[in-house]
Amino acid sequence: MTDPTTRGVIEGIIPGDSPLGSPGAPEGGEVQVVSSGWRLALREFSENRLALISLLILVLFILFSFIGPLVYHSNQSVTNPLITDLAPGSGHPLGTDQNGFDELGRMMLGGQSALEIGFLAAAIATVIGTLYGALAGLVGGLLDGIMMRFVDILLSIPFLIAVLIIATKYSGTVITLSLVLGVFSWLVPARLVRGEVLTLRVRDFVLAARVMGAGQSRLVFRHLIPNALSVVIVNVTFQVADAILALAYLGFLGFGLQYPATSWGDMLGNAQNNVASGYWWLVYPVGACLVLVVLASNVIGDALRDSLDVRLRRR
Amino acid sequence: MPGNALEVSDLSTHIQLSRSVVQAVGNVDLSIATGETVGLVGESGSGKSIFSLSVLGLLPPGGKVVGGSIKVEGRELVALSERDLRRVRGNDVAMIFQDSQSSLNPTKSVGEQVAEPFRLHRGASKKEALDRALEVLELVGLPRPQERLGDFPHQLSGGLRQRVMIAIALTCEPRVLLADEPTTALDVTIQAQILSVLDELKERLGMATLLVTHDMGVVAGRTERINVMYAGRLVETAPTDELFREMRHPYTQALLGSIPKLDSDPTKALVTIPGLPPDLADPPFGCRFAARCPYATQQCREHEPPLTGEDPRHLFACWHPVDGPITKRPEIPGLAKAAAATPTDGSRTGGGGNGSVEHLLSVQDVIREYPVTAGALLQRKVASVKAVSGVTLHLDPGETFGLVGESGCGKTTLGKLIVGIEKPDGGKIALDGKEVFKLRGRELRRGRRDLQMMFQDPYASLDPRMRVSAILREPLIVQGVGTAKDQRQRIGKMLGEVGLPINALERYPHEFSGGQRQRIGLARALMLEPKVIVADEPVSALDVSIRSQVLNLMKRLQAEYQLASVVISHDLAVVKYLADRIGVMYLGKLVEIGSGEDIYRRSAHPYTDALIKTIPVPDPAAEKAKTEVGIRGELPSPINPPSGCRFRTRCPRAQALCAEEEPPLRSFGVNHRAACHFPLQTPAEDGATPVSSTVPVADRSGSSASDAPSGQAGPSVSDSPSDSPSAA
Repeated sequence: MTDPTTRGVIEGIIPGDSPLGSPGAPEGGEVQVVSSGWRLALREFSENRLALISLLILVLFILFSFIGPLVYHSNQSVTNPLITDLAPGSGHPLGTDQNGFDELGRMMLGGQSALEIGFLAAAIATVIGTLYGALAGLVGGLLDGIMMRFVDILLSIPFLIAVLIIATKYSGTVITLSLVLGVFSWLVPARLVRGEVLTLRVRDFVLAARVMGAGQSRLVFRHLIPNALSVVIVNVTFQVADAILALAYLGFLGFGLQYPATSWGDMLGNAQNNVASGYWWLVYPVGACLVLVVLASNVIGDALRDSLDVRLRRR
Repeated sequence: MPGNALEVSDLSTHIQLSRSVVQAVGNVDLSIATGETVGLVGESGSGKSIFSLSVLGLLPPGGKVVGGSIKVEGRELVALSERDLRRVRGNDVAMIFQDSQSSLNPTKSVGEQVAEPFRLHRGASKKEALDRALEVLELVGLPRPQERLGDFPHQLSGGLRQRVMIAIALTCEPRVLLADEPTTALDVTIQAQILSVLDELKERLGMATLLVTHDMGVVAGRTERINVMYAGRLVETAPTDELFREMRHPYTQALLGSIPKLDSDPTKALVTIPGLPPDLADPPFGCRFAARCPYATQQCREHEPPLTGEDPRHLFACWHPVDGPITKRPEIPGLAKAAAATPTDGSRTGGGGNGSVEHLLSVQDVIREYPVTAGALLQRKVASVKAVSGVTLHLDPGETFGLVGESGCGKTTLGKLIVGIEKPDGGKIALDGKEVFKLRGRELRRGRRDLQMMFQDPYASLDPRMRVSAILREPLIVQGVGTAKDQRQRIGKMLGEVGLPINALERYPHEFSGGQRQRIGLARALMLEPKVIVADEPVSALDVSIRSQVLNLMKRLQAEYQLASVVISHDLAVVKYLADRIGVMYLGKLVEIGSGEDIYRRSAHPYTDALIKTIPVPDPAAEKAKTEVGIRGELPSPINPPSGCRFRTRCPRAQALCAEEEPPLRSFGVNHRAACHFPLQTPAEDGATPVSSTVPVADRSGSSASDAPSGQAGPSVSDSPSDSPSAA
């Protein structure tokens, strides 16, 4: 019977002797280099054609709204009753509106407000919702119950009515509208994050952190929130879409931004009358912008969810 | 060969991923004669599951058989249309899967699911099919099948569900049965029942069976031939006896040497296979095992060896075959040093001259019950799950205590109680005399430093968002140990100790394999240099060839650092290898406690005895010699455990007394106690000993020597446990 050379076998049990970098490979085996998690997610995302197109659309609109006015100058402050409601023609590619302002320029301005409010409201909602949900999920028990019942109560208040009532009390500026929208939109992220946290907090790595003496705040900020991040990110894109739409409702009903500031929703509100009069250039282009931006946000959100989930599941 | 029920030749299966092709199975030949049971053994990634799925054409998306032929009773399956293949599935060839929970339809009753194949293939009416279902359920030994026909899968226990799966497979009397890890997810005692069902069925129905598993013990007693697969290739095939006695391939040799056995010497290291299986998307040239093989030469790395052998029944693919199992196992470095350092004069008992023994960790009468609530609005407690009911044990420095039991016995809960993740509902847990978890705030945090845990699931125990350096640093940061430079140094050193390269620090957990992650988990637990480590199923989730690496590592670190640890596992062989003393738990109670030898050779409790007899050992002769079925029946519900002795419902020796009175822990030798009214050994002379009496510290050097009879012990241990040990 041949015995194996013990060398091959023993090398498996004395790693401590060999300083790292010595001829024998570390007993645990080499670590195969896999691209980092985010790069993997990026790759997944970039393979989704629709998502890329949507991203492009969003970027184009951002450029349109913010860089556009630097390139295309138009009068947006002084009314000119002489050139009101002109059809698209020379000098005004999309015509003029009832105040004589150039429509294309108006759309850029409207886009600025819409996007600003959209992102700001989403940010506010997400931050509040995430912290609230993470706390509720971690604490559990009676406090969690109370916090979530509070969320349930708020959810049962019709969103638009509440926003409308509040909006009438405050002047319509970008900041106040963002706050109003944000403060009523944090409920959904709170629930989502709480759900994620409930799943995460019984995972072994959270238990391990508890065993080594980590306090609640460390658990929340270092372990729970980063791992719930993918859910949060996906939700942010939907929040943006929802905020822009909500803003459109507000504007449509006349509770949007104060004149002369405007948003797409406001423009659409004014344009109700214009449909009957046949001033299509005041209605359809704005509507199209709104639809495209909201659609793009939703598609990006979907694609993000797909790419992030796959990565998380990947071992 | 004519007459073979299943004849596979040169089968190759590829799986197309988004960017690469995984060559899951490469040129595998396998044949099963009618009535024969053939084993297919290999670790995960070896291709054994894909092989059995290929036979039925049930490959995952992207999978495709790219070459070879599969013949069932002479009929070629590879090029068959989907429609024709459907006629074969469930009819001529049937399959049993590993996880019965996910393989059974949760929305259909058991009767419907068992009847389904019969309706599909024989065109039977609903009534006829249900009759057939009843027949088959009786055949597989499901108790009271008539009542079970209407039950849903979630109402059955794991063992019963597996029987239902077998019944579904047998409904149409297939010629070939493919069993893919049929008992891996089951407890040892239930596993024995299911395997004996399979045995019986083999006798009665004469099916050809392919038993796919990673457990060598399971194939040892039940197969006529065994095929060993590695990295998609068949590396050895031989009749069962010959494989175990005279294997030729180094992988088989190392695999069999790496499994801890109940009768192996715990002072010798296990054979390990260093490294990891190759990535099959980019398989290496030459022999696929060459990178991990101690005998590999240049020839091995360049040319792939063919399957050869003088005896056509015993074939192997190796340029430098070996001759049989490894006989000499190396010593564990550090063990001799540790044995020498063990004080033999009782000075380790601490608290010097006052005669009372203070243990490092003392668990006394600990109780943990989980409430079961009912009611929608106001949750009232209607019952409680009695997870741990009055367990007492102790641990001394440098000692390893093993906790063994099946699922549901409360060992994991006990582990969590010791580490402080859960609070006991009764009793106390004290470290160095102090009840750590009654402290608050900063003191509690300081106290936590001394009790750390190593978790079971390598995939869930590391934060996927943190790099390894952050993971290892976290304990030091939380406890405020050392400066940043200090911490960096310690991390590097610890990484080396557990056998990982330094570049691992910058990686994320998902870039590591299961075994490597367990090493990281172990390193994290050791960072704070705790007094006690609890290892919860440290190797259960790992592949067989990786297990021995981690076990050896733990053993070496135990010896070097004189760690006191509690190892929890359902695998008695693993626990016996790692632990000095073992406690056997059943339904929340400690039924027997003693050294490894006591438990293995002189077990007093019928449950321990049955466990030992039912564990499959990788030794064909021993397996065939087993005549008993093992433990009958199912585990009682922990919500309503049996009165008196909790094991009485399944115990062959139970009598009226067992239902009335709970047996106390009685002494059967030095530090060997069991709770049974009718034990298998005679108790020590002075009868029942109260549980929390002063028990002498076990002399480690005495217990690690094999077969030392209990009377011949070191000077610090006295024969009669009720005497207080003489202080140093």
